[in-house]
Amino acid sequence: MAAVWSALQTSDLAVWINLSRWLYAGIATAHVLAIALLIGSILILDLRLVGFAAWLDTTPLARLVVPVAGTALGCAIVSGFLLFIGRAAQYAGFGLFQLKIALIAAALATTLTVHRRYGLRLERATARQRARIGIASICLWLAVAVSGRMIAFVHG
Amino acid sequence: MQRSIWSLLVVGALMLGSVGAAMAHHGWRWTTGGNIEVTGIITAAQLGNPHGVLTVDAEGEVWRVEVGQPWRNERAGLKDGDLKKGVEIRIIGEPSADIKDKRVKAERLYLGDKEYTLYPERD
Repeated sequence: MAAVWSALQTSDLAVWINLSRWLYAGIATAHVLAIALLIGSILILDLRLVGFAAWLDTTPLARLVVPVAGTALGCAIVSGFLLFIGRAAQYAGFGLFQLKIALIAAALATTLTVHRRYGLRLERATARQRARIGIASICLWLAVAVSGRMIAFVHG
Repeated sequence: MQRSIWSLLVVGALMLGSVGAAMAHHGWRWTTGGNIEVTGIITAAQLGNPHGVLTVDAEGEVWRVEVGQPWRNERAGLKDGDLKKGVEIRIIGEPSADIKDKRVKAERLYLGDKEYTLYPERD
């Protein structure tokens, strides 16, 4: 893997990002906004799944929230990759970064499993299953954000 | 509704638990507030965003010196290649509050007699 990280961080794009002022600032800002939208939107659906706002139908809510959260996740992954490549080898060696990637994989696997099974019609799951899905989703995505934020404060 | 109250408690506990582990790194909260001076030879330089880090051998003691982002180093008058392996450097800055950490955040530095001020607003 060391060769991959080295190739990434010596690429023209990585060097450009790494030495710029406002490009780096812009990508970092985009990353924060994407995460805010991802967590904010997914939390609304998760709260519904857990049992809040029982008067609100789950399916129309999911039809709004899931594409928004998916777009936000895509933006977060792209901006995150651009922030990563500047110091790929260093970040790849951080325990918290590895934990974050593992948590993203777990959160994605959970999400994909749920939607493969139920599509967006989450009311087909039992109330107990929905609550479990909601709790797992909240915990995993929050843990992703927390582990990512802590990289700057623990490693360095 | 009982179940949702429990799950909110779980989430709240998770968030609270995560805050305790924070150890500041950016900014100045992790430093002592007083300045020290470190003189030595740069043995490694990693420059670029989010900020540069030098490894400095100060007569056998290895210090990690945090310098600026590219724009801050450039504003101080540093040129490409000024901070590189083998260069002798004198740093004035705030050390980590945990002195065993051997980390210092540079406020200004000297290459030879020339002064480069990274943080003009700090003494």
